Amino acid sequence: MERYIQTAKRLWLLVALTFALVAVPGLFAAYTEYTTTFQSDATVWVERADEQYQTGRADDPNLFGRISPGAEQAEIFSQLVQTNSFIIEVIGQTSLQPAYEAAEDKDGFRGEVRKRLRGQALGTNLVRLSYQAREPGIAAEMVTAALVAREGRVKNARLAATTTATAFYQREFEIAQRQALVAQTALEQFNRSRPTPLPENEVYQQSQLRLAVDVAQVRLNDLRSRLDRGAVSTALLDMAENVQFQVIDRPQADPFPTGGTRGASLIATVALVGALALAICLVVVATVLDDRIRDLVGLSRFRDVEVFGVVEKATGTARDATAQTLFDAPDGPSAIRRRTA
Amino acid sequence: MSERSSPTSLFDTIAARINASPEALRLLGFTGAVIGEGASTVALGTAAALGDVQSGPVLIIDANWIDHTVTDGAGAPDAPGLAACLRGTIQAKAAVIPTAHRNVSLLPAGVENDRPPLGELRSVFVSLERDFRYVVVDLPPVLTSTALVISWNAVLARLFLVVRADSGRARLVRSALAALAPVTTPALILNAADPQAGRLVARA
Repeated sequence: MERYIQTAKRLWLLVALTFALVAVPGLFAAYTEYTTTFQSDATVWVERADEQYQTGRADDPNLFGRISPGAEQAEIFSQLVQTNSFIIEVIGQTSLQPAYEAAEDKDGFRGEVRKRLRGQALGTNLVRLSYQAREPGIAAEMVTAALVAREGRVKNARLAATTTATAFYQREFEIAQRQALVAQTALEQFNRSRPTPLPENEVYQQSQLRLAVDVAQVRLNDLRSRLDRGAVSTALLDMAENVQFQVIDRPQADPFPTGGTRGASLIATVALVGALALAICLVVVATVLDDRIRDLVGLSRFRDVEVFGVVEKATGTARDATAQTLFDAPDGPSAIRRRTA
Repeated sequence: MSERSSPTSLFDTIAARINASPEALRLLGFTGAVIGEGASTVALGTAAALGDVQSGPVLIIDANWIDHTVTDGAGAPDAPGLAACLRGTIQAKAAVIPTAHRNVSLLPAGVENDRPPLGELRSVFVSLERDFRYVVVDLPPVLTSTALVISWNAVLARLFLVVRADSGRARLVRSALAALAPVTTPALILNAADPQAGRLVARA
């Protein structure tokens, strides 16, 4: 350990420079991240009307597979964000539209938007939709637009589902109408072609034809009521949507940086930890590669060689001082100069 | 005043150990793995300290023709020295010059363009050994002049490899030891060690 500390002390400038080279840009990036992050979010209360008052049974095998409405809506929102059409629709409703139109890399632009738009379940019935923008104002626009786009898609999906069911029942109704008409016509033809009173064997045939008309009529009435119920349920679902998806906190356009603390902290932490790790690596590598002999311990690696003695470091230059002692007399010129003279 | 009253007192321990050694450590060589380990300084300081710890004469020979700092420090770059002795143009005794220290003398390198022949090394030493209690040789770095150091080792009683604390590389020391391994295993001297290090005192 002492070797590493000595290396760190010896290379302190290089270590400090390495640390600074990584840490300073990282901290600057964290500061930039903090000051250029403008987050806006909307908090939404969600419910599932069809299951709201349903009590789960302990032996229900699907009990543990169910997720809360909050998590479900957050998941739905996350899935919507993955689609390009949703992102384009959202962008189209904000002031980012001109920038998107002008962007050469539209995929990159959408990817950036996708990264910043998040749906998060806060609880069983609470969802937060958020967007982090680089400029103030954009975030609130994006969240509002995302809510609107989501609502439009839900309505379209419901309409499509209702239309399908209605079309199906309509087709069944038309078939039932034709069947009723055929049965009615057959009964009338039978009545016209037979003189009254009917013999006993034809009474039975007439009652069979009348029964067919009644069955066709009942089916016709059933399909008509189903068609009516479908129209009513669509209207009811539309009304219930307001209850099932309530925006509690509308997105606000804050003029000051918000929401960047977490990202900035992460960047700063990574930068500092990375810088520290790099500095430690530098010290370790320098220590391992440094084969300079520093003390007797360093000489001890030459096992078969005798260490005869140690000359301590002098305060000045030992050679000059020793040479002066030997060759320069205190009261005259050097021995050599004396001899030469 | 502390025990460290003069620069040469840094080398007292080494000098005392040499002086107290049961082996006859009279001819001593100091070298480093590369330039800058402080071998010349340690050689100079040890010679001065040997001059202090006993009363016999001490000779320091500057055999470092590559970086002759001892000769330069003495202000004798042009004086005839070891090179001339080896060529036989001057007697070793005549080339020795006194220093400010009463017991220490110097045989300068005698800087020449060509490297002098080392064949006469032993005969030069025989004459010097008679006149001096200790002969301290400042040698060039092992990894720069391996052949020269090995040649000198033949006449030396002990070779010391100086390693400078905080700058001496283990890899270079290992290379120097490997280069000298066929002829000798030098003893290590840690130079310019931090006196604050507790381990230093414990091991020394």
